[in-house]
Amino acid sequence: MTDELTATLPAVLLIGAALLAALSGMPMIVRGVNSRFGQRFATLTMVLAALAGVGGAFISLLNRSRILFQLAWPFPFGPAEIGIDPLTAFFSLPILIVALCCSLYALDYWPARDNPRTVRKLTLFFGLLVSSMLFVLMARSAGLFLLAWEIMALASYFVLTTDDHTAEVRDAGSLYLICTHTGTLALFAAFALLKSISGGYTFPGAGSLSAVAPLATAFYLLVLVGFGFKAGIMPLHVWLPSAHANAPSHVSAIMSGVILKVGIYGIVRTLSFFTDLPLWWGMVLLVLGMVSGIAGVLYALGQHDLKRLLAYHSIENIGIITMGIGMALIGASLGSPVLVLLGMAGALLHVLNHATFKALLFLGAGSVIHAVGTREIDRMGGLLRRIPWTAAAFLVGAAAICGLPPLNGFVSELLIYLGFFNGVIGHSGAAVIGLSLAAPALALIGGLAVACFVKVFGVVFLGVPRVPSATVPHEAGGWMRLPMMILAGVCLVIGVAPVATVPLLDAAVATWYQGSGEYLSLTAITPLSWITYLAVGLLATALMTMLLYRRQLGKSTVTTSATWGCGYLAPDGRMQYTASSFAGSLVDLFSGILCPDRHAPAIKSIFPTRARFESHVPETVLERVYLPILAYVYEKFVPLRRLQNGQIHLYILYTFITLVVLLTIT
Amino acid sequence: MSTELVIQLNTLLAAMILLTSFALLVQRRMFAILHIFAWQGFFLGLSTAVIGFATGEHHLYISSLLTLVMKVILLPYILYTLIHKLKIHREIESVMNTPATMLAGIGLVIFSYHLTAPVRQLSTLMTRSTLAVALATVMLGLLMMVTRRHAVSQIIGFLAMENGLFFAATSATYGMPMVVELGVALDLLIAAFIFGIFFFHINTTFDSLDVDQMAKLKETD
Repeated sequence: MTDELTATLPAVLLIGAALLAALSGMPMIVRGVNSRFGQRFATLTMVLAALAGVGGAFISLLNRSRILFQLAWPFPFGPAEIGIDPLTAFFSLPILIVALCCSLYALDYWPARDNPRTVRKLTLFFGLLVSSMLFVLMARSAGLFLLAWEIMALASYFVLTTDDHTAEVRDAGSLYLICTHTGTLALFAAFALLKSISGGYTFPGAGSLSAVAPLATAFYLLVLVGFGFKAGIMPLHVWLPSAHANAPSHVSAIMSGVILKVGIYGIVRTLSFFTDLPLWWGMVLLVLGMVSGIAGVLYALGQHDLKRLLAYHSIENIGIITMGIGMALIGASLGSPVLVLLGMAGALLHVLNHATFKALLFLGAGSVIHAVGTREIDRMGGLLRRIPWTAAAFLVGAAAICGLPPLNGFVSELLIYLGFFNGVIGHSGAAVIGLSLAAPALALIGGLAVACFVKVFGVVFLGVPRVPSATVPHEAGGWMRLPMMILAGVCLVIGVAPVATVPLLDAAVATWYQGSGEYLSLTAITPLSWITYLAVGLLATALMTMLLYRRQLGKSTVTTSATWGCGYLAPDGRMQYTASSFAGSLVDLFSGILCPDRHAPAIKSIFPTRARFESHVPETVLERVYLPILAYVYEKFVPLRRLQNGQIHLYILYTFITLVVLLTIT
Repeated sequence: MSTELVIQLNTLLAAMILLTSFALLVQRRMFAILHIFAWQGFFLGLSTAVIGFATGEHHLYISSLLTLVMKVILLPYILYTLIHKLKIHREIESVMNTPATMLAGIGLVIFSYHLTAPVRQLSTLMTRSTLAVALATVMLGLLMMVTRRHAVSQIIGFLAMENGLFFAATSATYGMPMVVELGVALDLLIAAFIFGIFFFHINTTFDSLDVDQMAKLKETD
């Protein structure tokens, strides 16, 4: 292939993918088009878009090609530019893979014949959402970026509120809309500042601006707020749990798997402009990451709603990614390419990994909810035998999110751990304190995540059913199983052969950080081939154990009873561990942070009467911080609202006064 | 006709327009307001024709004719029928009393002269001295909208503002291009229809054309 072709081919493929994705839902606009046909057309188009886009992304990453187009399009805020480089290509991978899987999943999960009212809207905006995310990645000028960003925010609002006849869904949608627009407001300010720093609305190249410029700090903080809202970094995450819980499951998968990552992309891209980074930039991200990670997993432990629980795990994983980025920034300000490479590669790989395993978990959760008809974990149980395919897929996702080998979560967390250890050994000063605190924080996150997924898998899939269900739970259809298998496959492949991702990560990190120009590869500083040996060994052992166990099982007699029957005469399914009782001790330990609501009955007599116990971990940050502050502000602004008094001539008077003032001062 | 005479004539007409603006500001009776509004349109059309004659810009004759037809005959007629049919000629107290309104109006005229002083010094057009009157007419129209509570008076204030803008265009640049003027005339006509519909709905909803009633629409805290 000639050089020119290798540079333009990925661009053609990726832009083509974005346009195809936007096109996928278009037939649904036409009233005459049969919605079943429309849905199949959308899925087919999305599959084509994903194949083309993934191909383009791989070519771009392997050749490290970069290309920049200027659109012949008179656009406000300067010229509109579109560019493809390895960073864009890397972030487009999870988008395309997850979009492909969710689109396939929708065929059985949200079939057109059962949902004639909502399927048109859902399919149309799903296509627009995927397309706008790709354009966000490709935009290289502020105007185009914000345009694509807003389309993404609005399209995700509409897919999120698919079930808009439910009040809960509408509330979640409004909260999301408020948060995303507050973030966009910060971005508008940030890009206005960028113009005064760099002199234009087009994105400057990597490392071309000095971070010691006076406005750079303000830019950094605004970018953190703007993209932090989208990514769901801890104090800005308030929209995320209710939004993910209330969307259709494949929409939750794409929101959690990908939309959050677009926020991360924004942070990574805008920080790449700067050089001479002050140390505190990295420290801030590292601390934010630690807070998000630990608090995210703690809140997850206290949840009873399967999808809400997974949503809190997204915050946890965003925390891990943020820690990686923070470490890369610290590395950049210390001039340590090893730290940059390990931190950024770990963060980027975790972006890809989290997209796959979280999408897998949400799709699995969708199948579970489809099967039993509730999101309440405490009303499930014993599903392993009823829906074995879903259970197996969910188990893979759960092991991956806990960072266990031989799956992909282990690899990216290992890279970040290695970075922490490297940073602590080779350096001194404040950075070491941060990095040496971060390693145990990551370990704590991992441990609590394991506890949480033991709870989920144990309560949902093991044991016996807690509540007799009206219908027998049914296994998911083929179109639901296929995407779960694809995602589980990706998790396993990255986990067993992480070497395959090295060229991709090297290319993406090299785009982000030019540094001193020396070429460093992940293979040189990490024992990735050992991971493969370990993974293969582990898989072989597990397989052997399973075969032996099966043989042993065949010989012995098997009885079925409730878990922890403990010799009661008539053990009942409801006597099993519940999600709350399993997590109870941990939730109690951290009740200072979680502030759980508990309604325990007071025992007054020797023979207790009928009683009811309830416990619930609310969205504490929203309920204890934001809402009181907003209520206070609302109260204080009451006098200002007298300005809007409904008297028309006073409104005209306001216009009149404004006119006279403007005429006077100009 | 000499240039001096044209300027004198134009200034006289401008004075008449300003006079009608003040009359609109203080007149309380609905039908009298309509009459004054028609007179204002008449002076405006005449002034446009005079400027057209003096400068040789013949499209101004068409503007003048349009103004006469629209603002002297058509709009007052439409409003007259509306008031008659909806029986809404009952007067409503204005927000401010008459002397205060007059004083505010005089203040606005002085303000307009102050604002247009630099333009008068730079411009070479023969109509430059009437620009201040045009601006004052706009402001007085706006003041009328602020001080009146009756929806019909507010609309007349709005139309008086439009007269002021039209006058400003002729005195600042010898009129807007023909296409723009035709467009504006059409807009006015459509506006009249929309006003009609709104009057009807306000009247049936609130049983009155007192816009203060509309404060009921506001959400309470």
